[in-house]
Amino acid sequence: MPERQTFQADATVTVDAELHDIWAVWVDARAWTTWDDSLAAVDIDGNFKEGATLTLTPTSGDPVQATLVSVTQGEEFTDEVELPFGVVRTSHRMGRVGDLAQITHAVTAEVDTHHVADFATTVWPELRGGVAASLTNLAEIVGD
Amino acid sequence: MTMLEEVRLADPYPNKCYLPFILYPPGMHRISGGKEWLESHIDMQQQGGDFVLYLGVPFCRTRCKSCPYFISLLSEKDSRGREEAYVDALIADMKRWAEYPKFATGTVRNIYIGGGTGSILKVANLRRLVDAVFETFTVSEDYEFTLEGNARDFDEEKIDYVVSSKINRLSFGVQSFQPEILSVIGSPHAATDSARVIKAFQERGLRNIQLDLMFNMPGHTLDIWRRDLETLAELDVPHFTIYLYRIHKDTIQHKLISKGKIASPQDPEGPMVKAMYEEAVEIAESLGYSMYMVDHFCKPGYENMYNHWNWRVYIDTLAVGPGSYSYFDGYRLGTETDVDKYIDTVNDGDFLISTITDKLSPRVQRERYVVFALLYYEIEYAYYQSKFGSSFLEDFADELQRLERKGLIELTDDRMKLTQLGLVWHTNVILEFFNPAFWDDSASLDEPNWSLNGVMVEVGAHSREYWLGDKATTFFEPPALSGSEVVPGA
Ligand SMILES: C[S@@+](CC[C@H](N)C(=O)[O-])C[C@H]1O[C@@H](n2cnc3c(N)ncnc32)[C@H](O)[C@@H]1O
Ligand code: SF4
Repeated sequence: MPERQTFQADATVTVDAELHDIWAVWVDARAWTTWDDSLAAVDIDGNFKEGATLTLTPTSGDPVQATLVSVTQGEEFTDEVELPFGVVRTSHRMGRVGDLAQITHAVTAEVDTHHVADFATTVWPELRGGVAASLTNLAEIVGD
Repeated sequence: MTMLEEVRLADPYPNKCYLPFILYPPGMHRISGGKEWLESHIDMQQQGGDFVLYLGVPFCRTRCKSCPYFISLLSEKDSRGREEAYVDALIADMKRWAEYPKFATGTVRNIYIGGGTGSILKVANLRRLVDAVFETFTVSEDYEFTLEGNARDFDEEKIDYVVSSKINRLSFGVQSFQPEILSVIGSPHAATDSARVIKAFQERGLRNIQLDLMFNMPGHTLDIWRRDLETLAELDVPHFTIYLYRIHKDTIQHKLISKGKIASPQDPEGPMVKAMYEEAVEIAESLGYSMYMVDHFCKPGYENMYNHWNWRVYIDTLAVGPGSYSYFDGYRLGTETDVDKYIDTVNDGDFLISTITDKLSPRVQRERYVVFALLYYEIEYAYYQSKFGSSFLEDFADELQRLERKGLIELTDDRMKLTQLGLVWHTNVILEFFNPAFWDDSASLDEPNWSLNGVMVEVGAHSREYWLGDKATTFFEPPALSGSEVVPGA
């Protein structure tokens, strides 16, 4: 049996928006609270680039540290949070589809096997739900 | 400040215009034909004179939320090698311009790498570009060479290269030293980057540094502005600019504000913003800077010489790269913003000349000179006469009579100067010199315009009366103050 099990959820939306505008909203980490309802505050240490540290304060709970593990300007970024039960990676990707912009938010959780049962019932439903919710909010902000 | 001091009794114009940058004449129209057009309209075989060289780097790591410029996002990973391909094309384009005697035999007085973000280029590409300028053109001995950009881009290697290179002036888009404000406007750099990089350059002996600050961003207060000005004073740079933050339409900032996600900036005509400007001027003067040009401050001997040659001495501009505008032989020429199309066109052996003005009449060329020279608040009669062979006072007698009547200018024995009121209404004064043919020009709104040319065209799409009012009227009633009143017992 593997030591960790993977949970994965994603959502995609197509919206009439400029990629550089979506990017501008993504890189303003302090304003993630405007489209991610699970966050009460965000701070970033330095530039929005690979290796940067973010402090995420959830609406319920203590602040956690996240790291930007991948940043491709104008295309995608992924942040990673180490938690007692495992690792949560949230990735954000965009591209052009004809005249429109397609945005995907995805969350992947690698959970220690002995935490899986607990995680599946207490944490995952909210994480999974947050993916679509944040994407809908974002699309509303950047769309016409 | 009391309420009474705030009430204006009469204004010289019905609407105040504010332009961060002037381009004249604004209206341009699309052409195709690059090299063919050029050779059939301009004598490229003529002996060259002095000119300034602008090199555009159209890339940024992120697009600031109300950026008025055209830019293309460039990833640090750049897996498709776009930067390399672009610099190849830029150098090839520059060399092609230099095949014509007009530029081959001319002298470059000043070089400016702007953007977008000039500093984004990797050291190897920057080196190639700088070397190519000196291999390609005759550069005057007392040249100034500015690299514009963003502190985020400078690591130790790039700082060392720039200090050892022929670049001798730096311009940083700082905007603010406060992290919250940089987030709200979406700047690419972190708050600590600017001071770190400026100090590193100063320690290595490169002290000719200019920085851009902005005021009245969303959430910007007088207190934060004071802190920004204090940091500026500590850094002891010899030149800085202050720009009123504008929310450009069709930007994400416009959207965020209209959707209530970000607070609106304060009214630019309101007391806070006026105090911001006044305080900046006071602090600057107390520190030994003078506002030698609208919104531009410097210590003695550190004027921006690129602007000086362009607008005061008034020589040709060769601007290379997408989104840039050249001016020579009475034409403005624009290169459109599509980076891939630019590279393909250059690689096909052609120039990408996408929009032009009609050849400027002698009158419009004079207006153009006056419009730019007024950025320095005055016109010297003798210099004007030496440039155009005619008298400034006669050429613009009507305009000068009106401006004098309104108390906006003063005519002395040797020059026209703006008064204090003229300074406050500076852009409107400039608009007085616009050619009548350029008003009500809504057709130019449909032509391709980029960067701040779009803003200029919007100004010209209005009627003359909208900005300047009826010619016979000296003063206009200011817009009514809005407000509400609660009367007890009513
Ligand atoms: C081409 S940029 C300078 C270099 C670099 N691109 C940057 O912004 O850091 C010129 C300047 O225009 C100013 N600017 C940008 N957006 C503006 C806005 N919305 N309103 C007023 N000024 C603005 C900024 O001060 C900026 O530094
Ligand atoms: S303001 Fe400067 S750094 Fe920001 S997007 Fe525009 S050109 Fe780039």
